[in-house]
Amino acid sequence: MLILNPHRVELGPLVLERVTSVAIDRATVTPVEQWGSTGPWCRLVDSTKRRVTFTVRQEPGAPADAGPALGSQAEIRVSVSPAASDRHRRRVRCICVVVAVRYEQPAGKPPVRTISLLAISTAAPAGATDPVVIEEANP
Amino acid sequence: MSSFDGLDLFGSGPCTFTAGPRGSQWARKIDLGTNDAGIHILGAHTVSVEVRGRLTAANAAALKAVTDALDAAAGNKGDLVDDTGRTWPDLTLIEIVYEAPPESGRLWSIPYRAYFAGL
Repeated sequence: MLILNPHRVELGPLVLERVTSVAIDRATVTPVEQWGSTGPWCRLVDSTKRRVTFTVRQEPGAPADAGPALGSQAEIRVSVSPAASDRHRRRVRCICVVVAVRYEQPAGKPPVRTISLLAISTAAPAGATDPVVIEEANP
Repeated sequence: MSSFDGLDLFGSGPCTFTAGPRGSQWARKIDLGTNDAGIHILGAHTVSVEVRGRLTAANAAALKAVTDALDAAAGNKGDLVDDTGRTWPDLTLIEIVYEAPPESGRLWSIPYRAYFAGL
């Protein structure tokens, strides 16, 4: 899922300003693959160890703003509203841990801060529930 | 369909059957404490087959039932039949090893190996 120019992004008590995009990637860390004895093709594939990564790209604020602390755990809330209105606003939320904060200065473009977060499944039963919740966000 | 002693123990997921070693067991004479060259034939290998695969089920309880059925066959003697119909008669299920914890995704599954030998 790729959210461009989200209406509002919050990480715990922080409001992340000037966010240009939030990417939500889902991947299988180690897919299960199993072959049998009756032919060359894989007989079983399963996605057993899953990872959800949030990548928040924003224009950094004041020079002393170091961004969220590495290892901090908080709920990220991304509000999306089509046509910049409050109608049909939706919110993506997820408990995450900050694993990287990087800066880059692309030539001829504003500086970019990239915050990488890994999702954790905390809702009962923990580990069995998709950590990403997409819901209607009433204004 | 594979089976052991008439039971479908491995059919919930893919598996492979590896037979052997075959021929004779042997040892170097020098390893037996002599200074002679050459080897000493100890006797014929017993027939042995290793089944490796992954048991699968729709949920944790169903996977436990599948592994319980395999565990219950440990020590039993019977004919082992692979997916192509090849049969090894009168083998004993000597050992079952679960090589990782159960994993869940679309299914619940667990990798295993089961060692059979003629006694």
